[in-house]
Amino acid sequence: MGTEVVRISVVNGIIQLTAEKDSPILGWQHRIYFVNILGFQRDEGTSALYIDAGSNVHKKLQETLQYLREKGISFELDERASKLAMDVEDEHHRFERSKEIGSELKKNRVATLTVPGFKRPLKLYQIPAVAHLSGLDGAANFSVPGSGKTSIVLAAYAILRENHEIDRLVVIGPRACFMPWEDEYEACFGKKPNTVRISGSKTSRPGLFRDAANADLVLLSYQMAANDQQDLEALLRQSKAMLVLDESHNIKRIEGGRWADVVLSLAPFAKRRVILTGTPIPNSIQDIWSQIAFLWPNETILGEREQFRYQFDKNPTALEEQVRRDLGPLYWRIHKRDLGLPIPQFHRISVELSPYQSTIYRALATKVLSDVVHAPEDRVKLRPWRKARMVRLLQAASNPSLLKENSPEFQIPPLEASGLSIMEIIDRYSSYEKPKKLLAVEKLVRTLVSEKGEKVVVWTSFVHNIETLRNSLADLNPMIIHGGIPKDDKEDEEINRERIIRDFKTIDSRKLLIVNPGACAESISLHKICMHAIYVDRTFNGAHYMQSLDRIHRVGLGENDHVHYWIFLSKNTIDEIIDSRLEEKQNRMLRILDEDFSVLDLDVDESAFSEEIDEEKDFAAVLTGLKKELGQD
Amino acid sequence: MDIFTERSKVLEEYIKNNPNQLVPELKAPVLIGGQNQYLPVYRIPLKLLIYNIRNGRFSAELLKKESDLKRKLDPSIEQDAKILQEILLQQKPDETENLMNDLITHGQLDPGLVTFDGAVINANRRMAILSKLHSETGNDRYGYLKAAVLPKNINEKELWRIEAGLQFAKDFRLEYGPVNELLKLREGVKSGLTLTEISQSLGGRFTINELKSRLKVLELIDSYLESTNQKGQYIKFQGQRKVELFNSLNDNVVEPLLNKVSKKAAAEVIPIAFRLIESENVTYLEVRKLRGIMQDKNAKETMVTGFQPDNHKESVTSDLVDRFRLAIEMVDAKEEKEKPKQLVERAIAMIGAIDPSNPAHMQDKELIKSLEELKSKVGTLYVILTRTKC
Repeated sequence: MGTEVVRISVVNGIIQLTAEKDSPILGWQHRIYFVNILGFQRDEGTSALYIDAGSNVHKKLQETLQYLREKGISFELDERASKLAMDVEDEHHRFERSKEIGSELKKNRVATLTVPGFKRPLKLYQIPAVAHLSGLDGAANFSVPGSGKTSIVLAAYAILRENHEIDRLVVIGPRACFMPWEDEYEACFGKKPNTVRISGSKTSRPGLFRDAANADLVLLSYQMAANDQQDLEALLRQSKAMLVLDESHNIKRIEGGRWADVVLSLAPFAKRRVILTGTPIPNSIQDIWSQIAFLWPNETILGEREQFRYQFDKNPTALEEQVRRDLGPLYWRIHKRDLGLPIPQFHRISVELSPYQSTIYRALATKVLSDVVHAPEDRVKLRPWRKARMVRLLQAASNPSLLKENSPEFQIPPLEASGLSIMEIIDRYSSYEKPKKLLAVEKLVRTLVSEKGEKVVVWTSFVHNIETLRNSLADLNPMIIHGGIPKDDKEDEEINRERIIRDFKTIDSRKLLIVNPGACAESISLHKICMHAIYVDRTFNGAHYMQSLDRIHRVGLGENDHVHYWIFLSKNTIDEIIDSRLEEKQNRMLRILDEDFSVLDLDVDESAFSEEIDEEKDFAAVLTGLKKELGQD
Repeated sequence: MDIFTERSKVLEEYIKNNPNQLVPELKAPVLIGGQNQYLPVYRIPLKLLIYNIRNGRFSAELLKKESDLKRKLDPSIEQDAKILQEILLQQKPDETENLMNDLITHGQLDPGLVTFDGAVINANRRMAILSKLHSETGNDRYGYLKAAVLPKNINEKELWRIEAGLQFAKDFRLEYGPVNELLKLREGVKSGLTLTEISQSLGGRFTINELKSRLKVLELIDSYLESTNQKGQYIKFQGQRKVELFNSLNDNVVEPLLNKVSKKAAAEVIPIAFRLIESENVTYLEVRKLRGIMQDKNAKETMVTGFQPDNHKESVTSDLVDRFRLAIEMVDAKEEKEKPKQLVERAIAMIGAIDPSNPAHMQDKELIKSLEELKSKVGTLYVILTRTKC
């Protein structure tokens, strides 16, 4: 009887377990595990169990072997299963090894490193990061923007290519990162890369994939990766690629989504995997799950998705602790303090509402409070209901003229205030007065630009405000960026975001840039040339805000460069509530990533006024604030 | 369905050579490839037809019979056809009798549907009754089934759709029993249909998630039958009540544990649930409590102590049921920890139920031990609570 074994075979992603007929080796209790827990099926007529695991075959096999080992059940693998098991073992071994290396590198930081063919000298704080990235098969780099994540990846790539471990870089990221990757490559290696951007029409892309087979650097957006999943998989299979997810928080939704699903299924085909973001957890610790699953697709580092969600619901603080502990060796973070950057100065400027504005704001606030009892109970309806109310208040606090406009930023139609006595005031608002806050912003801009000759970037969430400011500051020749401005040369050769930013950075007389975070918060550096950022208004979207801060506060600043943030707050309004909530969100993220103030890159859907997880809290804070403002608490 | 049997040729010949057997006043509507088609109806001799043994409506009964006979039934063999006929006639005796009276009085008004090689898709019971009448009376009018013949190019998937579409048009569960419903759904998956296709074929009667959960319930039933050495005996589940136990086990216990706790916890609870279900002494509402128990360390320990998954002895099972009930009490009590007064009152009421005059309790060591524990716990609690008050 000692020779009884379970035979495991794998064909086309189907795993089959067989035992001798009537052998007790796979008794009903064990079969429960396979059938009812892992999802195997019984083969009628025989006692075999099988599962069509498809692309999950590695993971299912691993779970199978793990169970059999735990229960002391002998097994035998056929050739294919044995090869897969070896892959799984190998991957597991590499994971364990990576963890060891990661821990070691964190304890003993590498001080010197030779990077073959690298022309740009690495900064001291970048060297251990390069060692970390090239030492681990799947590694995360959560360094603050401006710390040179691109250079770090390129240096690791140079080392690994020299060792023949990889032969190319495939980067999936927002479109705005394409140009920086190409520019950095040239700056690091002293020559232009053989690069392919996978974009354009459906008919032209197969040709681009053929070119990609010979490229050093392949760039594509998350959307394109989703569109061309099969071609990309083929490319990864036939090469030894380091697959990089730039701004990896793009796949942050724990419930998955098209982008996340695609990159997770591509992950096993990459020789090496890297995730890059300065804001891995823009809203909640749940944001990290998919990103880590991409790094090590066969290891359940953070547990199963559902369990992770459940633990989050049960005890988010304990979960944060656990994540920090489990991920420790796998990520590297260059903190802002490592960069030796000067400490930025925050100026919070409180402005009274203008008289009519105050009337409008109070009327809206009263209405929101009285409406709360009628809030929809259905969650699906409740979210837009809340969002609309928060946007209304924000508009009133920023500029009541916005209320009668369609809001493309948040997809909110003009206010329909039938029954509101203030409707007439809103309609003619711009003929009565200009919000004091806008006046104060204009005044500060003039002082900084005209009197001091400084370059200034002004942030507001509303396109209408961008236009208003452009008109009132027309004499300063401002440039503007919002969602409606084409992205690059491909979309419009004359006017596009890449060009506007280049002009702002290079033409001395162009001193003023007015932007919204949805269109401009990612992948651009305005530091060195611009020391002042003015915030007309902000939303509850923490990612946008944190990311926007780092546009002007990043590597390259000297000790004597003084960065100033001017935050305008309408007194006793939602502005103040947003201010404290943003600070909370920021602190929470920093705590998880081991202290320090840091910020940045994120491209979130412009329609996202704030993320779902926090929405409830945001709204609760608004209600508390309103009661206080209206003296009802 | 592209295997050309001898029977298919005979059937084809018969239809070709007997245009007079067409029943012009009847047409059989069938949804094929998303198109409604109206097929001609013929009077077809019963001897050219066979029962469709994959017909979900009597899967449970069929599997039971096969398991009893320890062989598969072949509807093309006369002896087996008789057995199948009996199964069909006995499945719902009352309805069978009504249908029989109807067929005697009015003849067959509603046409059946058969595959091109004579397997009856819709009208198996009618055929069984006609066969019975034919052999009992020898009357030729009972020797035919009015039916339409499906085209040759229909594949397994399409066939399942047609069949299921017809059967689910009525309340399948009520008509054929809950376990046959589950088996019918699984058959759809086996025919190669995706869950989306099945859901669509059944007019959205089941969402995809519901289908998933139904199929999982059936897997649990399979495991249960295996654990009680009754593999394939679905017949035991023809009552809604028993399937309900498994619905609760899957939807309220296994799935939440799997998704929210761990695979291990989910795997651990199943054998316990099986023994509880086997005891026939728990309700589906009690089964649901297993989830809370598995998540409460003390309650779980109380329940699993000494659990022997393979021991089906009555005393062992009833012991498990007792410990399960105790564990439920523990979990419920915890939920009420903010209401200590109610808890104590309940305890008093329970103690009051013990009959001190019952000689069986005298000198019962276990009972006395428990009483001592109770005494000590009550004493400690009393001291603490009264002291804090001072």
